[in-house]
Amino acid sequence: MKQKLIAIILTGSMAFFWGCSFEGAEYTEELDLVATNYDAGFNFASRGTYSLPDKIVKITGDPLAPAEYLKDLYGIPMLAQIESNMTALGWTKVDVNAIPAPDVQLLPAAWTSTTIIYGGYYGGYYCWYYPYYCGGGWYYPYAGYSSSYTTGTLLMTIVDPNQESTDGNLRVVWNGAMNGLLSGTYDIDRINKGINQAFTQSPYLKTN
Amino acid sequence: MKKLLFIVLITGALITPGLAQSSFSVQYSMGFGGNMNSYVSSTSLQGVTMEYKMYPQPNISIGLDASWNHFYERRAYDTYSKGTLSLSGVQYRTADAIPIFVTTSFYLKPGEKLNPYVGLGVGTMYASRFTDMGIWRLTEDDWHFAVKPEVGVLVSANPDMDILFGFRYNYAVATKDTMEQTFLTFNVGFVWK
Repeated sequence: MKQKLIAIILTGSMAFFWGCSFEGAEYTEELDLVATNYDAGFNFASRGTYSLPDKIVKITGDPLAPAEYLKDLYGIPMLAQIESNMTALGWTKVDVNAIPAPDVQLLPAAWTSTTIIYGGYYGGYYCWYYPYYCGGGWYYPYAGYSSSYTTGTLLMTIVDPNQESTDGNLRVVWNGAMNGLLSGTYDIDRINKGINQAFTQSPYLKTN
Repeated sequence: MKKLLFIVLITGALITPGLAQSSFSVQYSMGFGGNMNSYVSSTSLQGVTMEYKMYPQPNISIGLDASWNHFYERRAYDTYSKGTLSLSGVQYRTADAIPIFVTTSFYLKPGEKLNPYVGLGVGTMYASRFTDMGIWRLTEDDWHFAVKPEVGVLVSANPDMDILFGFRYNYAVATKDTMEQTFLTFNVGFVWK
């Protein structure tokens, strides 16, 4: 019996712990995500001018509130990086009110989002729930704790100002979005890397 | 899940001593290959199999077995495109497979020091895949109809115990929502008679 128990423990230990290592992201940068999408029916190569605001609007979720903008400390380097990438793709920046009008408008926007996670023991097994849900029942935790994370998103949108729908919306021909976990410090290299990646994976933006 | 499997493993082993013409086996299982390789290319070093068998004849067994194999891989920063959409980031891919089979095996040299065998299992496999990218997770999981051909050899360690070495090919048929899943395992473990 003793020999059998030792053999089982040996086998079980190998099965569960051999090769067992930390799984998932170790650094916040590893959670950075860049997504792009475009309108395949739009001919970017035949356009050449674009406009770009001098500030990045903050999306606050309140459409009635006065417009808010990213601080210049953060916004100006991002705009410079966007402009640098557009220039490299052959685009010329012009004023939004220029005559002739710019072929497209590039509209950057940013926002942050905080998610609260509650965790605790319930029913003898560990569970995560949001906000109070676990394993088929609703309850309040009796011995839990909470944590939160905040993500930042920069969305770059290119619209065609010459194509307006009946409801007043402009035709979106390209989106580039960067999303990442905010680490508490402003890391311009990380942001620039994301902006560069959005343009790198969008070679169809190149104009003649 | 790990704790539950471990409890079942120990309980199952301890309640079966001395049953005539039956055996209980606990095996360490490494998973690799098959189409799992295109999702997680790393060999799985975490896995376990438990088997209970009865022997209507010395060279034939019927039984029941359950396994668990865990696969994980970190994919370096890369760009993934589908249609006009492109996503760039680091991916963390996790896959777990829990096959449960009714089995039958045929033994070529029962009672000898080396006893090769071939076997077949028919049953089901719960397979789950988690793809983490950024703060998002794509989940695929389903129960599949599954079969498992197997070859191996039993090495007699003493009159009550054999050491098992075996290869299994786990084949889970595609379902409406998930593709077929295949992988090989190399099992090594103890068989108590």
